[in-house]
Amino acid sequence: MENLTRSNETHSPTNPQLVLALLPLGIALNLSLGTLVHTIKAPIYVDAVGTILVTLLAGMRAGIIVGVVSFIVGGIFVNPVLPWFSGTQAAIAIYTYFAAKKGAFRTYKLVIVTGVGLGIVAGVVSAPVITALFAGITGSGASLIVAFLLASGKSVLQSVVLSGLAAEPLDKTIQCLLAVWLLRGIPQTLLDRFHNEALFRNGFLRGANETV
Amino acid sequence: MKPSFEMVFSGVQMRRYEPSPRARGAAAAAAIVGTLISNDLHLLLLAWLGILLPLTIAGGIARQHMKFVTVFLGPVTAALLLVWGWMVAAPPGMPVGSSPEEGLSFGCMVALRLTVLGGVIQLCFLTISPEQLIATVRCWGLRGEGLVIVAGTLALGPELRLRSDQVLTARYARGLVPNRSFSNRLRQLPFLLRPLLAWVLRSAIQRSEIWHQRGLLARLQTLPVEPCAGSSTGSAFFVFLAFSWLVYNIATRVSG
Repeated sequence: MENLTRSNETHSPTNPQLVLALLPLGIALNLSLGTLVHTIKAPIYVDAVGTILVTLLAGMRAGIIVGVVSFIVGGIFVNPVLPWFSGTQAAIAIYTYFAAKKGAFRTYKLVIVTGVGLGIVAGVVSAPVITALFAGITGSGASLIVAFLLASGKSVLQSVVLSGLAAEPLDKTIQCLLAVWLLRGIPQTLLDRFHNEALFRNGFLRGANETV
Repeated sequence: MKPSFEMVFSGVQMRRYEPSPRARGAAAAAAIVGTLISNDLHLLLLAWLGILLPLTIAGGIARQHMKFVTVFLGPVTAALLLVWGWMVAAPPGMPVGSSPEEGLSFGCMVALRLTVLGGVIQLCFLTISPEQLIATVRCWGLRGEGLVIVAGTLALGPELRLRSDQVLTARYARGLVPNRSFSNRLRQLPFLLRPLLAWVLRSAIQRSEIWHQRGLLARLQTLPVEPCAGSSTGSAFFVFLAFSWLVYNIATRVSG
């Protein structure tokens, strides 16, 4: 994990110390939000908001580290099953990075489309893990869809992929909307320290470089 | 006060036999792979009841393990048994409704595999004493920036929780929350998240400036590496146990 903060990405902040300082905070935010939402029993997961936020602020590599490490640490202290979904977090960071490069977080309508896409990606990437580890049944609401599809003769992988495609887009759209809403509420002076192209391209930062 | 069973066999007692970080990592990897390829229901049950449960009690993490088993695995197990034993009534690869007993057995095996996997991960990582945590991750090859990230995460988690508690308490104290009902608590989320994110960003900026002034990144490269200490008896015991489990499961798989 050496040289994690080197910035050869096109829209990373140039200060390696700032990225390095942001990473543990992003991981802690990911874990805290997940735990908090779980505590108040909200019907969403919010386990990737930190990953999405850090990817937008500091680039793909930082987002992958936040997603993967938060799920590994969460696996030790919260739920031992979480580390198996680290790949999904990496996929979320990669998707968010390329979507942000295209300006897919500029308006709330675009964010909804991006969130649906992210849900499809997350559903497909997590399907092999759910199939191999849980035999398709995780005990969540989506397991009902899996059970129905299994009973209708579909294979476990098919059932998990289809249920993921039905359930994940809503959750991921909510998470993308939440991340964008949070970034829009942060003072410009504060965001300006994370000076990068994605923030301008998606309208989080305004100013002379708006047309970058 | 008479000491309880868990107090007697607490983590403090176990630390005498704490394996070295390398042995711990190797044992964890072997035990996880062995569990993933295991498809023997009775052996999994025996491994959980006969080995993992006593070790979690001896390691002082029985409460965390039972919480994982009841809170997380309880609903998953119920759903697995219901779906594979009753709704599908057959294991994967067989026609629907052809063998409820085998379906039930398959559901049990998946639930037990998850139980053992979770137990192995908890036993290998939750039993690391706090003062050995950083030395352990360093022995696993995590140096420099990676070490800063892991150490920072462990330190910042409680701080972030404290910040969110402060925001919520302030809102309760100002009378902005009429009562602590579910809907009211849910409505506090937006008021909580923005101050929390603003704090995260400000804190990152402050920390980065301090690190820059102190030349942290340059100093990280020159930190001395401590020896990876641990009990040789404990190391040998855990490595033997884990690799026996792995070899037995490979042999069972190969022999069909």
